[in-house]
Amino acid sequence: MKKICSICGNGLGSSLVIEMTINDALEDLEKQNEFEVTHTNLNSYSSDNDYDYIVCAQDLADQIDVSGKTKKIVLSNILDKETLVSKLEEM
Amino acid sequence: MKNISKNMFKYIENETTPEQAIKLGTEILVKNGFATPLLEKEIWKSIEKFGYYFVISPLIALAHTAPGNWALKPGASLIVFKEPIKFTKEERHNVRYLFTLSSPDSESHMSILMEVATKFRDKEFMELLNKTNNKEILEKLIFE
Repeated sequence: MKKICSICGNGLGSSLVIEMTINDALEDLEKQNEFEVTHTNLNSYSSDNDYDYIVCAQDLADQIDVSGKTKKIVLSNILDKETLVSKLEEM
Repeated sequence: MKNISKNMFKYIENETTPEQAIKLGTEILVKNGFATPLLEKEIWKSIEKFGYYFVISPLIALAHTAPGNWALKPGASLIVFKEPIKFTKEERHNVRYLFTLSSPDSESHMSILMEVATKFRDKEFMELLNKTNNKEILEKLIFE
């Protein structure tokens, strides 16, 4: 199972909305069974993780580092499922 | 909208500053018993820490903060501004639809978020909303 995690500052607002968008995007790609989707907040996040993808909003992108195999997906519009689908397809 | 009632909605025609906007959003929550006056300051603390990431899509913002005793019950207010608020100099931080959220914990407001996200990500719905500056039409579109 691949792991994809949404991150926001507080862990209860944007990250939940991003998680919803991720789930919808994965459904569109018919890959919902290939991924484990979770969310977290900035304080709990560490770049030393085993996520395949992390997804965040543009304003937080600079505060989030990734290492190893983790790919960072930055969304300027976290309600936009189509853009997330294209980004996931590209990767 | 099932999760936000009409009495939590306001339509503001005058130009509004970011400070006034957050104040108005939190006031509705306080007046209706969802949060305490501390919520306003906590939201600004979040903004200082994380920037304007609460603008979730063009013109739509979801002002919120960490769980705490400033949030009494899960709920949200909605203010639609005729003149978008300019949170920063960047156009991507202009906000016409300000949701202010009260979240006592990390989950109980989930159904509110889901309804807001589902309804307001629909491009055709947003086109209809953005076209009108009539309070009654906005209310009808959003709440029915």
